[in-house]
Amino acid sequence: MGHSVLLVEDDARTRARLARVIATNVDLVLVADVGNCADARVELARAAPDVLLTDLGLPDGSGIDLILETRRLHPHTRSMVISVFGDEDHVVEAIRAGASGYLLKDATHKEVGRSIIALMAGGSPISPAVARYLLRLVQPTQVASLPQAGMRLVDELSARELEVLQLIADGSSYAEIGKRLFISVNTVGSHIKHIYDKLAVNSRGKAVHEARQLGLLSRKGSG
Amino acid sequence: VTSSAARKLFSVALIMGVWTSIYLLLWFLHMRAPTAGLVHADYQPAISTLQAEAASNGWRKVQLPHVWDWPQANAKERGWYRIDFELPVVAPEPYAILLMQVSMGANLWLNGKPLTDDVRRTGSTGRNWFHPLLYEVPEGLLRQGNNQLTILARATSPGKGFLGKVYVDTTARLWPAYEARYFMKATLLHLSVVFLLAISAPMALLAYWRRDDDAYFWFAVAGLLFAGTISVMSLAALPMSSLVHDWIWTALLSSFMLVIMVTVHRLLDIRRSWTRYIIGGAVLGNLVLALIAAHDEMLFHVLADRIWIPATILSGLYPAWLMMRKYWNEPRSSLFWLMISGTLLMVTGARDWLALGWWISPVDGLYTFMISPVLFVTFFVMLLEQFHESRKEAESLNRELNARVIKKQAELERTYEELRRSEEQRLLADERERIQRDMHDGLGGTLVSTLAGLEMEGAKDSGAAQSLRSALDDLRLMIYSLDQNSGTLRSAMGMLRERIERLGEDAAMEIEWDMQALPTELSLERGATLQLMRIVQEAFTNCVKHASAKSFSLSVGALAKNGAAGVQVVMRDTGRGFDPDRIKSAGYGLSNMRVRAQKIGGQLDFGVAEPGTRITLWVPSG
Repeated sequence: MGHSVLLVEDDARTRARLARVIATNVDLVLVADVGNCADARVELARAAPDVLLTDLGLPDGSGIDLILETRRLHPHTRSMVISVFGDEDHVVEAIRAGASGYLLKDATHKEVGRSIIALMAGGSPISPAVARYLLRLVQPTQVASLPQAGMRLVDELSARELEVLQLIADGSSYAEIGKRLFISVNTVGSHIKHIYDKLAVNSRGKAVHEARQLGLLSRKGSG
Repeated sequence: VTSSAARKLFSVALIMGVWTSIYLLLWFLHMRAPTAGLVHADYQPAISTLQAEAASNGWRKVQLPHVWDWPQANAKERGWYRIDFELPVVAPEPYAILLMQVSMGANLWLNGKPLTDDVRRTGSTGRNWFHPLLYEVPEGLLRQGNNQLTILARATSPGKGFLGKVYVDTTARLWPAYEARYFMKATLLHLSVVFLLAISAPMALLAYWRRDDDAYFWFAVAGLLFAGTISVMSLAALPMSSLVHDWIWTALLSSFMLVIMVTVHRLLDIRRSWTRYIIGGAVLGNLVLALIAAHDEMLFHVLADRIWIPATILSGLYPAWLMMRKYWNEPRSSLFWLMISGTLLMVTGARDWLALGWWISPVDGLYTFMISPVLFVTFFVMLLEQFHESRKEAESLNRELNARVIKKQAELERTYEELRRSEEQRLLADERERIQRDMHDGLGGTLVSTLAGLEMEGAKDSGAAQSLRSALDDLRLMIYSLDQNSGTLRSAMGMLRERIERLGEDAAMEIEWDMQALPTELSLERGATLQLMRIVQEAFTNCVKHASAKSFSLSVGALAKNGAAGVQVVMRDTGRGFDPDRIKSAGYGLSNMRVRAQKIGGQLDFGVAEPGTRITLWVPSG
């Protein structure tokens, strides 16, 4: 039995392509593909998918809300953001809302399968861009408005986790990091998962508040 | 009792000891006499200067030294003395008569014959307060046996004068004592005047240089006033009446005391609102005295001698007390000496006040003027010290200020630079955000959607789809490059690596990525980074598209070339290799890469690596 996936994407063609990519992957089961939050909520109320794959900018709301609701409703469901560019702002925002990673919208067949399966296996893909962003938060001197929030994150992240983040930011692979730090690739993965967990917060309001405080959220909303 | 209090007490005891010694020394110097003097005399107040008057009756017996004080209108300025003495032997050498203590000038008659003026020719005309007078006796005038000396002594002020012991002996025996006393009573004062003028001049200069500290100015004024006071008192005759003379002296002395008070205030940094009333009162007092002198000479003398001058001298106790108190709170060596000289001056001043008032014997004249240079030296040293201190302070302040200005300037520049950068970053962030939003909502979404449509229609590998993917890749690089935080080249390469590894995995290619030779903090200009990323991406895309490569390796590191710092990227694939025909068919791909390299001043080289292609890119990082 494959992992069940709920796909939320407003562009019909992109949705159709991703739906086919998921449907044709033997390891995945497409629960439903919907184009807005309302439909997604209906699907979420019906059953808990293994994976929620959602765009952020939806016609009737934000993918962030969906991720938060899903976390509340189905704690075991993992969320992933689909993004055109995989750029920092959007991805970090999603991660703070509880997403475990992101997929590019033009990701290939194989890549989609690989990412979702890795996610379900416990891995949490993290891009150098995101790692860099997180590192910047823990180096508060660089961003004057962030000191307190950054300090809090410093408290939360262990020295080892910071090391891992730094190496990821430099573009090192998990294998290279493992070699460098004398730990297994799995341990690298679990460090990254911890980082994700520590970054995620429990409520939408709090997330938005903290994200704003941290400068993670753009003031003009998300696309 | 603390040890510091004990030290202060010791200091004060020392001071008292010092000035007692000096006072005793002065007293001792005044007590010196050449031989036994004549002490028995007849005296009568002089109404006129006629020698015949001396023959009249009215003599009374007195003992020398004798002081007279008859403030009577008819006993104006002089006193007659008649001394009978006996000389057992008259030696065959020049004789002289010495008046050691005399109030002003004197005229002498020996055995009825007038003696010419004293050896310095000032005795009969000048205002030689308390100078000794030596008269040479013409040969043959002194007789063995009885002689008679008549002296008309001039008064210091109407009705007041004195005569000390009279010495008759050979000139050779009298001369040393005369000279010593003359030095003490006249030369010393003349030297004081010169000295005061000499130290007032540099102080006036300092006052000019340090206008913010007027202690120097007041010192110079005090010096000049005191020099004037001494001059008027001790220098030879000035072309003015003795009344004007006396008034000037009185005015100078009181002004001097005022200025001393002001100087001490300034020196100890004391501000008193009543100072101006005292100064006004003193000026007014001197003017009133002048008016009185014009109308009633006698009253002027009584007021000046009995009230004004004593009060003036006594007022000197105030600055002395100030200095003492200051020293008590802050025992500094310069203050110690100032206090010593100040109090000594006050003690001698008090003594002189008693002498001028005829309360004690005035025959030895005034001590104050002999002591005054000590006070001035102390003042002088102290002010020089202060000047030196303030210069040092000013210099160090200046240095400090300079350093602070430089620091502030650097700070300001830094702040400005930060502001400018943050403004730039804010603008960039806003712009980036806008472009990103536009790209997400519009361009990016459309590209992805169109690509998806093509894929759905089975045109996944069509030229159009490939172009769309390149466009998307390029957009991603642009968005990265717009990122305000895209800092080091290492992080840019890291970002690129992630993307290429995903694509490589899809194409079942092995990706090798070596950034070990790339310094962590190295960064290129924003534009250069973008072009470099584009070239790498394009090289990789070409490799995937045309070369059917099984592996792609990239190594990047710092490398100086021809003395210029730079970054070298070497990309290798194991594909079909470099083929000019294929390059043509690939269209502008390779030439495009060259153009990009040129834009950022870099060099791009293609080479064949068996099997495959090797692309070397060098970009300056300076």
